[in-house]
Amino acid sequence: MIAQEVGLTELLPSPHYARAPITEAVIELRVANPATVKQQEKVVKRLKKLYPRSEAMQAFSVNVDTTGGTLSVSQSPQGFRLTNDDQTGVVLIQPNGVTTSRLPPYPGWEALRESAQIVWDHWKRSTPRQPVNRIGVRYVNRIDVPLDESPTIDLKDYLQFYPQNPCLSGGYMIGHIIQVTRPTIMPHWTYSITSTIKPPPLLKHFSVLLDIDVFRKNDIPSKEEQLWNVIDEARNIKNDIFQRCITDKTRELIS
Amino acid sequence: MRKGLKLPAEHHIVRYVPFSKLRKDENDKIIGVLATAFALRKGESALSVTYLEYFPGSKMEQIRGAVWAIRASDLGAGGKSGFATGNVEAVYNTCINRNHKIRIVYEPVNDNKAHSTVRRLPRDDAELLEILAAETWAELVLNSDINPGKATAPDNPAPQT
Amino acid sequence: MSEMRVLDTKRGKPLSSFLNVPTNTGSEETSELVDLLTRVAFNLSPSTMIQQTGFTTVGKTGTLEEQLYNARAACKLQIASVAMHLDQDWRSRFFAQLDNLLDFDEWDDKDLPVTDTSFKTLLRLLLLIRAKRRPGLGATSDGHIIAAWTAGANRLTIECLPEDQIRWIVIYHIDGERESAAGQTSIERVAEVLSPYQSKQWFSR
Repeated sequence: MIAQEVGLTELLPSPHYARAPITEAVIELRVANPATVKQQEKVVKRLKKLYPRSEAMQAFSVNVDTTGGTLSVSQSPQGFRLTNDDQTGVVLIQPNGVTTSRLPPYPGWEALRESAQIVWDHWKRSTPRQPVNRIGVRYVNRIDVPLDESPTIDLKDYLQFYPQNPCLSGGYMIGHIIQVTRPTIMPHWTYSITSTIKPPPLLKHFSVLLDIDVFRKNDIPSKEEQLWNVIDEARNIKNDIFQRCITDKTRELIS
Repeated sequence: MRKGLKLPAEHHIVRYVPFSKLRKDENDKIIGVLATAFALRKGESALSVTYLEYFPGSKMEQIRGAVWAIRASDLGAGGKSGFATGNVEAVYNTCINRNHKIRIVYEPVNDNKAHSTVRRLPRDDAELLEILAAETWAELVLNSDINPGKATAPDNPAPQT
Repeated sequence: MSEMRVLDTKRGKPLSSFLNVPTNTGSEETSELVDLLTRVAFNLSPSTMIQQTGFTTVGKTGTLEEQLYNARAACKLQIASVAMHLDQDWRSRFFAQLDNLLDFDEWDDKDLPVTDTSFKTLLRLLLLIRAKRRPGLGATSDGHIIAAWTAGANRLTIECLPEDQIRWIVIYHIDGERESAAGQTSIERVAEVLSPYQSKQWFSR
């Protein structure tokens, strides 16, 4: 279906929400050739002032030889996870790139972008120069819906993104998880939306997760300014997707 | 002074209260003592206190003596901590009123010769501890209000007048 | 059909998140499905990549200074997850209270740091009662955080246990007489158990 045929020709504007339901905002940049552990450690060292706390990440694999009955465990380094002092900022330094994340309170796009630029800058100074082969912007939203005494809610009242399924019994749905990945109306960009329910952090509430990931693997500029302009595009696309996924009832909750 | 001797009713005991067990307002201004300051930890059989009249001089001098001794002991004292003073008889009576017969006895230890204990304090009477914190054992002196310094308690108690 | 059952109607509690991952029978299709469901459901974001260690268990891992740091960090992460429901000024002052409470220089080394399960109960309590006045904070020796409100001689003290359970104690003066009461209940019942004691005196400005 062509975007124009369904009336999708331009991105929706994005109003400011006083209680934006963002639980995490992420900018990721990936490169093709992995950085060595030493190079990653250099980046960690450079970021020490901003992100004083660092932990090494390891992947473990357990292999069982069912014929001989032997068990072997191996681990491989997966990079480093850095946090700032007040736990609002997380950075992942991994063999194939960097991920900058901000937790609530969400400081705004400019602050997130600036944090990501600093991290990327230090990555570039510590690793061999190479083109970016993937950029991504991901926002994890959690919508907390206050409950009345009714045992059911209709997801349609809050999200335009919900599972469609035939009524096979008289019973209500008790859980779901859905993910859709499609190209966006903007060239080269793909989006992935994931939604599921989550244990609510607030009493007498119901929480649904709306995870929007916008990414691009093609035609990524090598010049810095153009790279970050392209990353700005991702944010606009993400905002558009968010606007299209929520209902007015949700807007009332988060305004 | 013999170990195990019951402290006189008219005398006083001092309990060290770290910052986490002080009652504060929403701006962390200290306004009293929390009941948890008098709760026994798992494995503890008695509440540790310092005998106030072990030290010589006026009440303020005795309090200073007790604080300096606690500072000099293995316990130490955090900068934002406090010391709660309670009358022995009042503490007894508060416990008796809730059907608990406690003992407050002199039990010196190596790092604090004025050390004493409150024995048979119940583990499961939250209201008792709250009443102690709110009324009976609520006279509070802050560590920051006592002159800097530390000195172990003397080997012998002050002569009783 | 998009209507969902969200309450455990017996207890009126929201249903927890679920994931119905089928048993992996080893067939190619099932293995792929199990792998995909698990990856989608646990699509770890940077903030969840590594669990905080040395904090959820009541015990000692790492030095006391590290344990207290981890405890502060975990509390702040929990607050961050509900930051959209908290006033900014309220939140930053609450952070300051936590920093003071879990300060290594002030901590009695015989006491366990505040556990994340206890703090979770406190946070859910505060979000439920929406007190305008923040409580003063304290801690028990076994890692439970304490919330204390004081209005003159009237005192409310709440010890936060795991799983939304609290122990509460009230000292209340009426007509010159002192009354005291204590109990253990779930945070959902706090308003009800405190109703005889005019809780507004503690929670409102």
